[in-house]
Amino acid sequence: MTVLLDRFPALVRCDFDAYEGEVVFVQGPNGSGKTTLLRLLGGLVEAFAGSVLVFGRDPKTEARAVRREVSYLAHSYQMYEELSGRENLSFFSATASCDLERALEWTRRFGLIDRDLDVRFRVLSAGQRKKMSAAIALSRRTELLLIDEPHALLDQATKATLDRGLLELAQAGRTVIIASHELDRIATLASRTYRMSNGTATLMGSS
Amino acid sequence: MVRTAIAMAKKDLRLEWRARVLINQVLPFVFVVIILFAFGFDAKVEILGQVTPGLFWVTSFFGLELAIARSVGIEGENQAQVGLVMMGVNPRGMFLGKVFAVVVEMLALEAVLSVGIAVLFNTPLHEVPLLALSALIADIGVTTVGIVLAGVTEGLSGSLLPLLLFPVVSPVLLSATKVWQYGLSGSLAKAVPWSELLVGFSLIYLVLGILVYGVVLEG
Amino acid sequence: MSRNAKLKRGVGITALVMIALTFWLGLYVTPPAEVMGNLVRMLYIHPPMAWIAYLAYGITTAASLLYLWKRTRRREWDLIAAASAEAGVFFTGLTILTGSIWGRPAWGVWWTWDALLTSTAVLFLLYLGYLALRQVPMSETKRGVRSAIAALVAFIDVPIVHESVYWWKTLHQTPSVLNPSLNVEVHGSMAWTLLLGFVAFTMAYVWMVWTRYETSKRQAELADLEVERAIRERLSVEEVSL
Repeated sequence: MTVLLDRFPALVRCDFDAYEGEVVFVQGPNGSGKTTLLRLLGGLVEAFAGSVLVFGRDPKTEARAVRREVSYLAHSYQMYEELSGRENLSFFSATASCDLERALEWTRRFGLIDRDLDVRFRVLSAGQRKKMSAAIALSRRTELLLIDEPHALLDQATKATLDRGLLELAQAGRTVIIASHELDRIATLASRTYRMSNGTATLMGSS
Repeated sequence: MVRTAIAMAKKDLRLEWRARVLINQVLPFVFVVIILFAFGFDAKVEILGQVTPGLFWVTSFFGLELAIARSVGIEGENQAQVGLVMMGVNPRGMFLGKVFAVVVEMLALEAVLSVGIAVLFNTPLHEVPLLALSALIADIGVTTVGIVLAGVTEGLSGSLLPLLLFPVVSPVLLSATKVWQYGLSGSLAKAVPWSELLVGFSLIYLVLGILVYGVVLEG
Repeated sequence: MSRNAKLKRGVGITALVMIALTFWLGLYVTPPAEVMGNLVRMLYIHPPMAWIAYLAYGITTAASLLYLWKRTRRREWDLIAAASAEAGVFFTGLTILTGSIWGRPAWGVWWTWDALLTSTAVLFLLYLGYLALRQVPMSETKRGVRSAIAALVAFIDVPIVHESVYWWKTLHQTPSVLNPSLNVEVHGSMAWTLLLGFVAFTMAYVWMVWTRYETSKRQAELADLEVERAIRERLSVEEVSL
């Protein structure tokens, strides 16, 4: 498929697929179209040409049905600055299918303490904020997880926790698609790797 | 839907309570408008008394416009709205929650404003329940259209919202002004048809808003 | 020249000739009215202009609805909606202007806060806002969806505005436009001229929307070519990097 972002072809004749219960790694330099690919799968952008199916559904026409099955950890934090972490989590658990207990569990695994959850979101560091967003994405009961560049802001220990967590989810039958320009660590975790370059994806040898 | 609406309204009101944009910025601004009117009418109390209902609603419109812009602005920071859309949150619930929060904020603001006008323009307040009720209904009417149009102009220049909003809600403002005019002068019977009109308009806007808000979010 | 272009040119020329004819009939052939005198001549252009304005907004709404509905979503509907709204604003402006010119000698004022005038002014502002929204740079789909919603809200608002303003004014004052002493009996050559006026301005409207639509369609196609170039560019960069 081809995707245009305000007339810029972010994805060009790009073929991509993922199977249930696998971890797919989308690797490539900045501007190669990784984020656009994830946004396409989440139904946030529409394909200009070609077709997109997520669990047999077209995200363009059945956006809400698709999104209920998709968690998306994006670049932006997607949280309210003036609410505390705990308040943010309980708001999302009340409105979206996010499990509050599991989200709190994830924050603990990421090493956030109670105090971090009780101060306003805006006073947290970039890494702590990212952990909070990740906790929400991981605790939603969805079949597909789209994880965009998660490692940039996280420390070594958290990266390892996150990777382990994603692997657990995949073993439980969920599908995980991770986009990153960091080669080393995810390659070991992924069952397949796509290399993105100038808007097209090439499948690298499966491992 | 109801659960989402309640969570949304609680969240918006809590955010407003923390940031106090309304109290610190909108309320003082509204009083600036009042003082400007006093200057414009040469501070003649007789004239100001006559035009009080109109002034109240023009000023309230400015306040509403700011409160609506703020309410939609909250969702823009950190792209929280994108997150909500991505999680497939019920758009009708989001809409009703946001409308509820803005209406509550505006009623508080209008209570202060009406007391201010009563004192500054020397207009005694009569029929307070009628005035309050009509303010509630008018606020609902303006806010529902406002939230939709603010979504339409989201991320675009700030002067578009008042340009689009004012002509659309002018019937609501007109009816509300009339109800206030008759309420303040104590002629309740005359206020009745205008109150009916006000209820009708606000209902139409509310239904329209509920119907189109989902499409607005997709845009 | 294609058949399409010939047809369009035909419509344009016919509109021009018919408008000229309306003016000639209206100014020289038809008699002055009993009460209004020569003022009645405004009748041949003012109501047709108002009619076009309503027609234009109706078309904008229909096209916007077709655009909003995903199954019928096509760029063409968005462009037609925009072209028609532009013509609508133009003719609303002319309606207000001709009404004002008529009002000065008839009522002694350029403007009065009468129900019809006020609601027409609000109508003008409504669609001016719509056009302003369209001017903001956005991606094509985004602009299409957002402006279609604005068009829908505006259209639903037209009767509401009209109703409320009418109430506002008629509850206290007698409506001046419908003042019976100024009523004209339209007959004979006057009726024909008025009818001609309606047809002439409708033709002019069709030509305007058609021309505007084709221009914006070409602009959009030009943008598509630009996109194709960008796609080729992106593909060729890849070949180099591999």
